[in-house]
Amino acid sequence: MKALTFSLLAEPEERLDLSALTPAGLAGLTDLDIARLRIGSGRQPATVGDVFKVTGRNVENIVIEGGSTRIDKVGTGLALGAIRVTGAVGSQAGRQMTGGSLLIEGSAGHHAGSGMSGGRLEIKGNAGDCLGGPLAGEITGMEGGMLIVRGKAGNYAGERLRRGIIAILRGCGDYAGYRMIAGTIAVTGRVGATPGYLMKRGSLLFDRRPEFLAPTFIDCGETDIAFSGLFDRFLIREKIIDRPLLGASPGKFGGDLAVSGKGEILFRRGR
Amino acid sequence: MSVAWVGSQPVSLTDAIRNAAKLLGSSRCPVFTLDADVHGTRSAIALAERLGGAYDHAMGEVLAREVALFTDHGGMFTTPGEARRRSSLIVIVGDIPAAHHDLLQAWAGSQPDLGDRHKRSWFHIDGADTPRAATFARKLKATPLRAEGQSLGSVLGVLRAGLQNRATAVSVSNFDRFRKALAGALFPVFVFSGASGEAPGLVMLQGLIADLNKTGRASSVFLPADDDAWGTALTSLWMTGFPPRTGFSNSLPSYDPGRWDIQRMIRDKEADLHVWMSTRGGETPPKGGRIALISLSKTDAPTPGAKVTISVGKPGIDHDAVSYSSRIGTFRAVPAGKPSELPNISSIINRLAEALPGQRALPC
Amino acid sequence: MLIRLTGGEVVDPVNGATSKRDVWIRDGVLADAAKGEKPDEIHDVSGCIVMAGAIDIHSHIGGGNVNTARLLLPEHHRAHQPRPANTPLSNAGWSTFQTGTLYAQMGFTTVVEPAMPPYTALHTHLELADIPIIDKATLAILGNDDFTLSLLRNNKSTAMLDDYIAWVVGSTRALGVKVINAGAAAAFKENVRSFSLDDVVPEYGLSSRKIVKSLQASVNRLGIPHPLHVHANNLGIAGSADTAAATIAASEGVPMHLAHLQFYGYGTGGKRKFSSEAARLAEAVNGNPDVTIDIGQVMFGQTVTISSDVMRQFSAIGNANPKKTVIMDGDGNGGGGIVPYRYKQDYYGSLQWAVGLELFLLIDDPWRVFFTTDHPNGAPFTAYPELFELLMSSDARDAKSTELNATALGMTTLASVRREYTLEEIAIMTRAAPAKLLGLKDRGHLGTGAIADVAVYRKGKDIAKMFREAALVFKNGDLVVKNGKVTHYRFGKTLRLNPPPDKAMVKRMQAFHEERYGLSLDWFTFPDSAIHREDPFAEVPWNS
Ligand SMILES: [Zn+2]
Repeated sequence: MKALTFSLLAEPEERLDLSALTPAGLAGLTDLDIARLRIGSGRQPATVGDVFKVTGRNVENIVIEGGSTRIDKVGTGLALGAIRVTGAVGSQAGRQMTGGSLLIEGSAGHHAGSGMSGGRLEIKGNAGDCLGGPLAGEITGMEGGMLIVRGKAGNYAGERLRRGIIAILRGCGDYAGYRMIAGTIAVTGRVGATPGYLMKRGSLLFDRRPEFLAPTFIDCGETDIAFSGLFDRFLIREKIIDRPLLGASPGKFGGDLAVSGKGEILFRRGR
Repeated sequence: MSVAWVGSQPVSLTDAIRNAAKLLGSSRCPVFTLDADVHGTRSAIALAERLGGAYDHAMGEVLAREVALFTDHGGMFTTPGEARRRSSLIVIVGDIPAAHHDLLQAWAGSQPDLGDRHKRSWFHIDGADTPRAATFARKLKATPLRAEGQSLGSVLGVLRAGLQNRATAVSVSNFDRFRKALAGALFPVFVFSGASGEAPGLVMLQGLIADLNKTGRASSVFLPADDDAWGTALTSLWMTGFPPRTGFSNSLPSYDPGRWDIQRMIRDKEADLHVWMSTRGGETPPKGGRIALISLSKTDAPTPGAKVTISVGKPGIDHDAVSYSSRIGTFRAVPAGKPSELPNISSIINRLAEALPGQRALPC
Repeated sequence: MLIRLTGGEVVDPVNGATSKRDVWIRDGVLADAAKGEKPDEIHDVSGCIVMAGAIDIHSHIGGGNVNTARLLLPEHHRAHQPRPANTPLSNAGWSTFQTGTLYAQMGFTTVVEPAMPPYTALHTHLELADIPIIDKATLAILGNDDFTLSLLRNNKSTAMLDDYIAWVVGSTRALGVKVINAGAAAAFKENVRSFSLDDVVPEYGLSSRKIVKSLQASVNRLGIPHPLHVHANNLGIAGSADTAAATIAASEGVPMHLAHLQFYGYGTGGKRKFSSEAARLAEAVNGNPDVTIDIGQVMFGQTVTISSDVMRQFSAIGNANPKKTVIMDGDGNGGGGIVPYRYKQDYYGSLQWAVGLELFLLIDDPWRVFFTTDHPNGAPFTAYPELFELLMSSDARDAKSTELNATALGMTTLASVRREYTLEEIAIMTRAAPAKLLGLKDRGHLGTGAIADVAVYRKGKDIAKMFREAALVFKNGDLVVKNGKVTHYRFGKTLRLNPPPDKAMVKRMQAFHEERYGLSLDWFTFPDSAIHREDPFAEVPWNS
């Protein structure tokens, strides 16, 4: 069966909420039902039929063709099946997904993977701020699953991360791992200021020594490499990176000592 | 003297209202930049609701940071009045906006009459990113707490760690004096503003205060970067349940500080009509994104680029107002300082609402 | 305008036994049957019961702390489009607009916000004025401010205290006076962490008891209709029943209202040292005819606790859910704490639920026990219909009990109490008695001359549904609700006392504020015009 495909007809005038376009949300709907789904939220809200040409049948395999920074909440609550977007998306892609796979071939806006607890979200382009992070008012970020950004991520990547893995391949902005509680964030490329600020536990893994580290992280010298080796092998096996991130003798900082200070920043030496 | 313009042409107020209402009625996505007292804000939010629009305050950027401290964390606070009467140890955090300098200087000139009643002493937590802060702090003879090249957020972290006897990579000047002062004061108060530094630093500050409260007492005085903006936030909260950067879809309010960032919406051309309020005088609408503009501002000339300009008075100057005052930490009825004929925003907005198709009065 | 409601069963215990009769409304007021006159509107309400509009005496619906709770918790009512029904607090009446709407839909026409800090009175009134449909009122908080405590410490005359209280009540447009954990907020600022009735505020050498007794006497002397509204010490603590019993005993024959007694109904028995003392407290209330109480019933689910009892709220931070809180050391009587909380159907939640119901059922006199959930502290006010059902049906209580923690319920008398509230008792508890308690002679009943606040409910087996969706509601004779939905918005008034200020006291206040705060008195007071509505207030007469 051909993938259920939503082809964007033109750049939408208003922001669209695509949270309904998931396998669970579309199961059992007729073509007409789907065309009539309201996805706009302005004074004259658009429906699916206004914005997309819809072809194919397989709701387990959804493709959104063309992209727009105005399409928000793609793959919200995704539990199983696959969604692929051939271009860019707006904010909150993969919001609260629990399983399945969401592939964004372009860039994503803010809060990609916000509150996700399972599944795999891969962004081939860049991601905005608060990758995997909580929305305003929420107090937990990502709680599981795997989030991969092949480009850069903005500020506050992995804010309040609780479980799961975030991998960012071309660097990130300030406050990576802000207030993180547990879980792992791996970054290759340049990392902005004060990663791990207010982190309680968890691991930040960098392919270089961080330039602007908060003074509430202190050097722990060399570290036990069992974990780093294991994690490197995992990232390679998952085809996230093609050579080891941390190397044979990574350095280690512990912090944030302003709180309980049980988090760690591991980094590759000699770069 | 003209008080209303269509384009650059002076017109009667009635004509201006009719033209503005036509723009509002046909707008797909109107956005409102607020700069008003409580009652102007109430009217504007009611109109935004009716039109399915979105609103933010003119000082939305720093306001969003202040709001985020509460939505994402919370904290321990006290009022300026209580700090003045009870606190013998005031710690200024980062850069405090000039509008509040008088207040702090008034504290410096008075003695606590409750609590430990010690002579007031002052400290100042300073960061490399808050260069303007030190000048004012010196006037108060505040003892500086800083570390070479470190941001305010980092210094706060070092202080917090240090007060828990944890070693850090750098040390902060005068730390031992600070620790001693804290131990000797019954009710130390940290004074901060959204302009003090970045949001994470404010969270760190609240963490430090929470730590102090495990065994003793301490609190903070929040002096908003802009009193009117904070008043608008409070008004918005009771009207819609949410602070600004709220929009109405299907007549339900939704709060999203990214999505309803009005400046962003204008830049990204999601909005097609901007209702811009400016009562401070001499301001120009933000550049970028050329969408239709209705200007409600204190001006004697048409606002450049505006389709309609209506001149309005400044609350508390041209007419009586109800505004937030950080002097008392709540709303205050402010009599007009220099009463004038200029209409208040609330009355203009109510006339706009009545000129819309349907002609219903607003609920305020 | 003449309106006739015909065919309904009128439950109006103040004016006689329940009977089928017509109710007439003329120009917003209840009227005698108009013979030979053709009404402008006739509503056939057969199959319905007709009651006066309900009155809530204690519900935190507006003011600084309520607004801070909104600020702290945007995610609790985030309007995900479309808004999911089960979002926590999605129906909690969060904005002023929703508050009026949801209350009206349940047939409520007057609601009292019980905690207005005098210095933020303008804020409270701005919010109350924006609540549509219903009438409002509020109580001024006293008992933790330096001025009161200094008067008492310095043994100033009772006349001076009376003048001060009258000035506060008048200038803040209050309907009465509330004291919240008397002295504790002041003591907490000096790092006192627990505070009981006979503990002493360090700065002043005054016991909490002394403060409560002084305020109670003053309110009584002044002729303020509503007795002192007391939020006692040790709220929520195991063993707090002792404090509540001591406070009840301290009423000493002078009227006193104890707020949310459920939160004090706890002993230290059982394995978890948390047990029910409801039966004992009910007996104490039954034996003290000058004492009235409201319950503060706990219902289950997510809520947020909002209280000016800053010491208690600070001690509750560890139980916050979600983990974020605001603690405010306010000016004198201001401040408090916002602590989100989720009542679970575990041992503690089940016990609290049962204690509230025991109190409701074991206190004999429906004129002296008031239903509240202490909105939103025990539950949002939208839980009232379910609560009425629990009171009116022992089967409903049994059914709910099966879902709860059996050990906890076993510590209570609940299962053995089979009392069921009658409609007449509900009408007393929610209409007639609140009107009497607050001194509102013009409402709470359907007698001729009362304002036409009328609630019509369609009779049915499902009691909760009946009270959740009023068939018709009239506010001052305006039809505002039809079939459980608001059909017409109007704005009610805020009910207040208006004692003339004593000139010498005003002078004292001017000097005090200039000296202590460096600000003139007009920073702390406001004219009616600040509310921006026509006649925002309505005056309630004093007791003579
Ligand atoms: Zn209460």
